[in-house]
Amino acid sequence: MTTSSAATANARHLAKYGAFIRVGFAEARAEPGELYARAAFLVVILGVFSALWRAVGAVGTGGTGTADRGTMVWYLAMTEWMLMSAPQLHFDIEADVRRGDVAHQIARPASYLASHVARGIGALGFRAPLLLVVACGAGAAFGGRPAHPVTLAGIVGIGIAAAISMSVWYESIGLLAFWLGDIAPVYWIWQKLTFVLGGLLLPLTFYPSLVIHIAMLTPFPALLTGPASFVFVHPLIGAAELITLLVFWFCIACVAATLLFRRATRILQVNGG
Amino acid sequence: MERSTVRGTLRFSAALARTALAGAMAHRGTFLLQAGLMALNNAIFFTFWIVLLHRVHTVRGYGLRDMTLLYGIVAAGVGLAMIVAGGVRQLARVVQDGELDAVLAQPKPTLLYVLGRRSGASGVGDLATGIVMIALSGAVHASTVPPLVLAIVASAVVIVSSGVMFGSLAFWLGPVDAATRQLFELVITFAIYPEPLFGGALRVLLFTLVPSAFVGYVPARLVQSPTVGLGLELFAIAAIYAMVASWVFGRGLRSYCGGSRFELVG
Repeated sequence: MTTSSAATANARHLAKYGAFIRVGFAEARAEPGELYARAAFLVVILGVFSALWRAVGAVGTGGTGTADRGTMVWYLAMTEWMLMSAPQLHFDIEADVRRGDVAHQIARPASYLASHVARGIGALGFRAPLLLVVACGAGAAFGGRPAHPVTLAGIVGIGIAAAISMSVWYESIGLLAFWLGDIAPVYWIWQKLTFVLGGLLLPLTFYPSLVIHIAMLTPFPALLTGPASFVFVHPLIGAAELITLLVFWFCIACVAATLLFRRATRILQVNGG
Repeated sequence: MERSTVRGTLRFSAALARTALAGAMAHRGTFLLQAGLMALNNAIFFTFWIVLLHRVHTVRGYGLRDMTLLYGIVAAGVGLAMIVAGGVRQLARVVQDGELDAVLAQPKPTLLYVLGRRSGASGVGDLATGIVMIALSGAVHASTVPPLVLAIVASAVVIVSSGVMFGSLAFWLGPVDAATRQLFELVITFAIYPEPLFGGALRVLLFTLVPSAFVGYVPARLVQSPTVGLGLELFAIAAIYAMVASWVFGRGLRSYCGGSRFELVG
């Protein structure tokens, strides 16, 4: 094969996934109900925590310094924005398995896993900017002006990468439907580990050092508290280290999803036509 | 046609709940896994309060024991609601998909069939967590068991009633499944934070349209400082919510057009 024909083949390959991204974007736009529900929840949870931090007052956040109510509200706005923007691919995969759609989807000339991620990126492209506006609006309403507005731009960039990485982890959870049928209990555990080890509600530095050490061995800090902690004077993880960690955990997530998918397709049985 | 008596209806509801629970327990391994994971899920979430209250000791007068009791009552109420009336979470979807057709011709009230057809295994995990947390709070003694039972039952009744009211919106508004589920979750979300955090219009909302106050704060207050007056008040409020929910569902049912579905109900 010549260099130019290989390049054409690659371009065609990428265009295929570009089409999946457009489909994901269009699907998310056609179903605004989910976006409204997420936006409403985001506003409510920021309102609740704004009231909570007002009651608590300024709190020491360990290694990241002391944070006032506004900073804590902005921290939560960023973690919630990343979490809610991440496409929940596990539910799509679970539905594919339950309905049996997976049998004809894997026969397509496109990777089942990559096409789901591409559709997820499309949905992220629609929802993330709108949810960011809501998160920033609610953050400003409940927490005032952010202490370090410039760092917000950095959080947004890394946050998008973290949300994509999160969606690959969700894929792995979704693939467990081949064995478990209902993946909700596994997702609950993942979600609650995100609460604690990811520092969703409280920065990780609030927790005892043992919890911090355990958390650092998992992908959760890189996915949430790492990027969001840039709202504080001293972020939990430096930018370069955070990007390295994100790339590392993204690769691990891809390997885990691929291995699970291979095993799953080996046990797949197609009944009927 | 024989008129269904209150006693008969209650007996039927209990039988329906037993059948739904037995159905959920048919796959024992999955059932235990789901119940266990829900309990673990609650325990992990509560670490938030343990860590926060270790630093600040109280939040507007709520210490760790108060939060443990509040969280325990809400978890037990949600658990009981999901065991007895697990179908409440799917009510809006059932209405919008025309799934009511299959139960409309049944002899007992339609709402009971819809609510009692499902029983969530996770409800058992919630109930177990709730009971353990209430015990750990140290607020319960032999004399406070009756108010505790009333508090949990009232909390469950208000949770189911609010779910029915939100789900019934599907009769008039069509596909509102996601929105009604979010509203339902809001009732529970607000109930697990200290009451004094919320003031003004939000407080009014929490005592009326989003009745988190009667799911968490008021039942917890009854257990901490039991009085006959407060007990009667909570009982009356839960009964009123149940009646309003039943009335709203009945009104919605009149405008129900059906989905031309055929299904066996056993």
